Order: sequence, then structure tokens, then C-alpha cells
Amino acid sequence: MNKSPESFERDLRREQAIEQAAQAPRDLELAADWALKRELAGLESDALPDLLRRRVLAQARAPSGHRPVWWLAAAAALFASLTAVVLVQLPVPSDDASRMAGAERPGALMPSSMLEPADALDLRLALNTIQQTGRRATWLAGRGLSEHLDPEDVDFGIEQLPYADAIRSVFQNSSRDPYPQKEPKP
Amino acid sequence: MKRRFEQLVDQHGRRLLQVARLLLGRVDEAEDVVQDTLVKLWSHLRQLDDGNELPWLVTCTRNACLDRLRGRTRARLALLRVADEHPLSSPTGDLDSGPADVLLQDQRARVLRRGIAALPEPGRSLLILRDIQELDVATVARALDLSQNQVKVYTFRARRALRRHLEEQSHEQVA
Repeated sequence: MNKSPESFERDLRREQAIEQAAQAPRDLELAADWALKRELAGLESDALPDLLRRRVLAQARAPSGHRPVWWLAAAAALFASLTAVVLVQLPVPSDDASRMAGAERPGALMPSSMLEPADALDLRLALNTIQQTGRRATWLAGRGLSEHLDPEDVDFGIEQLPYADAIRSVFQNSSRDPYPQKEPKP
Repeated sequence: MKRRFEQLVDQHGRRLLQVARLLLGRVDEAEDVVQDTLVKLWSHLRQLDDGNELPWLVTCTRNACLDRLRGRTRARLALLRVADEHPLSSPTGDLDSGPADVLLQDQRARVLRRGIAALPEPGRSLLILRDIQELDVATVARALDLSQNQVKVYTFRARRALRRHLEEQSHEQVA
């Protein structure tokens, strides 16, 4: 194909002459070229096989076919918006429900059987401290009251009060009795 | 978009199949190439402006065929040419012609196809697109990335080379 510019121009003129000729040119070489061109145009082509056509068109009909990106983005945005609206409109959970839900969470209230031994000792110490403080407070209050009240009149359902044994001992003993340091026997 | 795709398949599928068949010399490979090309068309259809589909399709088909041709070994190519003698016979003969005429037409068509297949590129593609399919110069120029004058000149030279080839074969048979 790499020929001189002169030959390029010459061949261009020849081709244009062949294209424009309704009949065979008088030049024999060009006439043979013209005839071959017409013969090539008469070559028949096969039709597109139906199976091939159906396979190709099935690509366009497939649900996973080509979809524009904006369509997927719009669908994702719509889904996110709907989810947000539904969550906002949900009722606030009640305390019971919260507690039940909290029990499911790690680190929330655990059964005692799940406490570590060290944790159980710490918990027991804390409860004993609260109990001793409560007993002392009750004893001090009872001693102050015993000076002004008759113990017989004080029986107003003392058994139902917390630390009932301490209160009873205050009324039964002298107000000068020292505060019992040891826990009473049950 | 589906309707446009179907129209393009029906409008150009046959043309593409002929291009691939003439370039490759094999019907089965030609069908594979055309199927791949049309599937690519579906995925690129949005980017293609109206009127640019045919050059794009021809370019895609031709490139796929040339890739396949490059992948063939010389020995395999020789085998395919031998096999080409039989499966390429056209199923659509002229019903008004007699059996002898049909046979002669088929033989001549095979000779022409073999001669075209023996041409170097881009002359081979130019003869297929310009002379056989009679596509306009502008479309072929866009498809092959050539100027319109180049299309005309290279087509002329390819046709003349084919004619020389056919004449030599004819002389050999006579001799």
C-alpha cells in the first residue's frame, strides 16, 4: 500500500471512474476491475441464524442485563430513606422490654452462678457493710426513743421492719447497753 | 433501548456474519465472533450515537476476526482452508437455474472467497465492506480508521490484486 503520491492519485482516479461507471469502461483493465466489483457485489450472504439471533436477544432480555448506575443508586437511596422513616416512627421500648433486652447484652446483669469468686467476695463485703451501717443507725435511733417510750407500746409490727432483731434488742435491753458488735443469731 | 438493539441485530447481523465468515473462512467461528460483537453492542449501546452503530460493529467484528486469525498456526490455517471447500456452500441457490449453473456459481463463489481470504489487510476487509457489502465510503473509512481517499485507493488495489490472483489460478488450471 505504500506507493508514491503519483500512483496514489492515479489509483484514486481509476477507482472513482469504476464507481461512477454505469457500464464497463472502455479501458480493458478498468473494465475487468469493474466486472469483478459487480461480481463481488453478487455474492450472497447467509441470513443470521435464528439460534444465534435468539441467543443475542436473550442478553437484552436477561434480568441481570445492562442497567444504568443511576438506577441502582436511586434504588439504594430510596431503601435507606424508607428504613430511616420506619425506625424513627417505631415506639420507644418500655422499661421491662429494655431490661429484657439488656439482659441479652453482654456485661449487663448476670446470674450469680456466673460471678467470679473474687467478684462474689466483693459483693458480699459491700452488702455486709450496708447491713452493719443500717443496724447501727437503727440502734442509735432506738436508744433515743427508749428513753421516752414504753417498750410495750412500741410493738407496732416490728417484725415486718428491716433489722427487727436489732430494734427489739434496743427496747428489751438497757439504753446504756453498748451497741452489739456481733451479728445476732438468726 | 431493547427495541433499538433488536433493530440493529436484524439490520446488521447478517452483514456482520458475512464479514466474519469471509475473513475467517469458518462458519462456526464467524458465528461466535458475531455473537460476541452483538453482546458487546448491547453493553455499549448507550454510548453509541445514532448512525455510528455500523462503523462500530464492523470495527469490532473485524478486530475480533483479525485476533483469531493471528492466533491460528500456519498448519491449522492450511487445514481450515481445505475444510472451507465444503461447508461454505450457500444453501440459497437460484431456483430458476439448473443444477450445473448452481454448481458453477458455487465454485466461482468459493474461488472468490478463497482469493479474498488470501489478501493482506486492509485490502481484504475493504473488498468485503466496499464491494461485497457495498457500504458507503464514509462508513468504511470510520470503521477502518482510514481517510476516504485511502479507502478508495486501497480498495482499487485490493481488487486488482484479487483479479491478478484469480487470473494466475485460471492460467495454472489451464496449464
